[in-house]
Amino acid sequence: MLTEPTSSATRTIVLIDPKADSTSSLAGRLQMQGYTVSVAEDPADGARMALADPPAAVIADLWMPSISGVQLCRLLKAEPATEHTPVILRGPDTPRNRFWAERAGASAYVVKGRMGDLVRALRQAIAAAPVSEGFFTTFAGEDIRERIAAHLDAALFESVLSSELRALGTCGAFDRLFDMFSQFVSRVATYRWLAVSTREPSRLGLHASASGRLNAEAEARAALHLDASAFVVSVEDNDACDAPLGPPPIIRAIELGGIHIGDLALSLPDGDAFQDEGFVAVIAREIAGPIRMATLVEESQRLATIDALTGLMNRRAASAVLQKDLARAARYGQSLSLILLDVDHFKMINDRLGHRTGDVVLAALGKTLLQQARLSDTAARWGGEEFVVALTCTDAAGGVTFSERLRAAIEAMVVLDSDNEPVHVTASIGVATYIPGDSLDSLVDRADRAMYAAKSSGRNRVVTAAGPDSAPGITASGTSISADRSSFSEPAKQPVARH
Amino acid sequence: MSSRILVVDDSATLRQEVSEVLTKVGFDVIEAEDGQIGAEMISKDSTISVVICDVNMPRLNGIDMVRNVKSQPQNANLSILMLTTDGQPALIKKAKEAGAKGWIVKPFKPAQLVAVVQKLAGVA
Repeated sequence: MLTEPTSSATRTIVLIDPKADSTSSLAGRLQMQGYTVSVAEDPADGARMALADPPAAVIADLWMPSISGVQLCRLLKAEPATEHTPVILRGPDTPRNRFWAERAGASAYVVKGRMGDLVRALRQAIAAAPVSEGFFTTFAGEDIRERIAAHLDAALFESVLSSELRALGTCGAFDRLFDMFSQFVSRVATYRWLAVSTREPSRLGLHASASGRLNAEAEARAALHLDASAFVVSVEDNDACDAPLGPPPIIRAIELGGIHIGDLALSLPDGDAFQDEGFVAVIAREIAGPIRMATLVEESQRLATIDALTGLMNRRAASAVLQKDLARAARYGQSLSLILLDVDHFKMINDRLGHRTGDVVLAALGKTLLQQARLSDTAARWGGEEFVVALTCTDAAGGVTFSERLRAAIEAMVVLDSDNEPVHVTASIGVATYIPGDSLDSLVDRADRAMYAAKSSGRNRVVTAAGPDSAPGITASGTSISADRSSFSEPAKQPVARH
Repeated sequence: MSSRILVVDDSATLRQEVSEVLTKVGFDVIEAEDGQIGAEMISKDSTISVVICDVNMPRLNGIDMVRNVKSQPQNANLSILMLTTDGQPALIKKAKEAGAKGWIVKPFKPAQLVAVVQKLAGVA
């Protein structure tokens, strides 16, 4: 490879102008400036000349009969031999022409006849161009027009790929996005597996054949350096081919606005990998936006549904879920128990130990509830220091067993205040079991009254609401208390005696 | 002439064709039938100044051979031309990145080949 370009190369211009008369005067002017000028009247010849011996710059007209200046420019930019060679297009003074010339990769667009502009543009473009390595390309018989058409086709293909991928931005969630994405890519390429990993949250989307799935996951994890914590979305079908290991997987970073948001990996069967590398670069580039969109949508849904401090569902989202749980219980004749939990002496904890400690208590409670609740249960923060758990397919006895376990778990929590002193946390729990005809409100109301009964009878205990088949409530010490609706007239908004 | 031209191609016909064109103008031409042999000959013979090389060859393909050879500092001034039927821009780019000096799409024009080789060998 030549390290120093020869002096003639820095001063050689290829000038393409179908009109011979205007060309000669322009060529003369450029020669006076010290350039060596090679003239071509036919754009195809001019292109061939530039490719066979890359000059310092190419000057061409925008309007030429067979090949337009824009097509010529695009050709030269697409060819490795002339990709860094400045192309200056000359034409009429219209914004759209200037815009399109620039989009085609022209270094400058100069209005025809403005010699000064041209000379200046030439000097600037040549100075700004990277040093030429002298790489050339020659086509003995191939028509330049065919080459232009081939490049245009490639550019159009990339454009179609890009727009179809960007349209996936409407998928609201990652799993749906990955499903659509893998369907799309498998139509355009043949692969053993396709993987997309994201950071924050850590996820892995994997498309492989059913039989190749296990190997694919192992290979993908290794290639993308993923730990076991990544949440996996797996798509299995015959659109991924079952072939033995071929070349190492192609890996591309997925970046958006300079931020590395994930990686794309593709494992191809043995064969020609050359063509697919450019293709993988395009899909990695275009999938970034849709991934970010899906993440944002999921995040906003989560924020709308989850109480940040405790990690439990918030009341609004939980109400909707509980309505459904109730409807199911009613329709299928299943049992359902609802517990209402209120932290004991919470106001005092806040006043004496500070609101930060109060928050720590609530967060610990949230964690305990999540640990105790089963997958089929719904746990939610219902109010400031109030919590609700709906236990599906659970009768009164089951509700009580659960509640007692919960009560004990809460009492056993180790929570430290700001002085690292342990805080004794307990809760009063009311349990109500679904009776046909119950609405969510009536069920919660009964649990609420039971909870107040727990409060007023000493706290840190479980009390059941009375119903036709009510089971007795269990106190902290193991004896029973049952609260009949009629046994107390009006529940106080706040428990009366707090110490 | 002190500079030698090496032609690397798995087709004996092609090697002969190129050899004839270049010996006619006075070059000393030697041949190799695949990239591996080509690379070996380059490492052993420092009078080789220009290599004309096919892309699709057994054992070691043209582009890998270029990369291999050009990564060695003693071959900094060695000019390698690809001569092949293929014209895909992606492949051409790979050859350029590997360190090739140019890409000629077959069939080649003898006069053009001679001119290029003369320029690269540093002759008139």
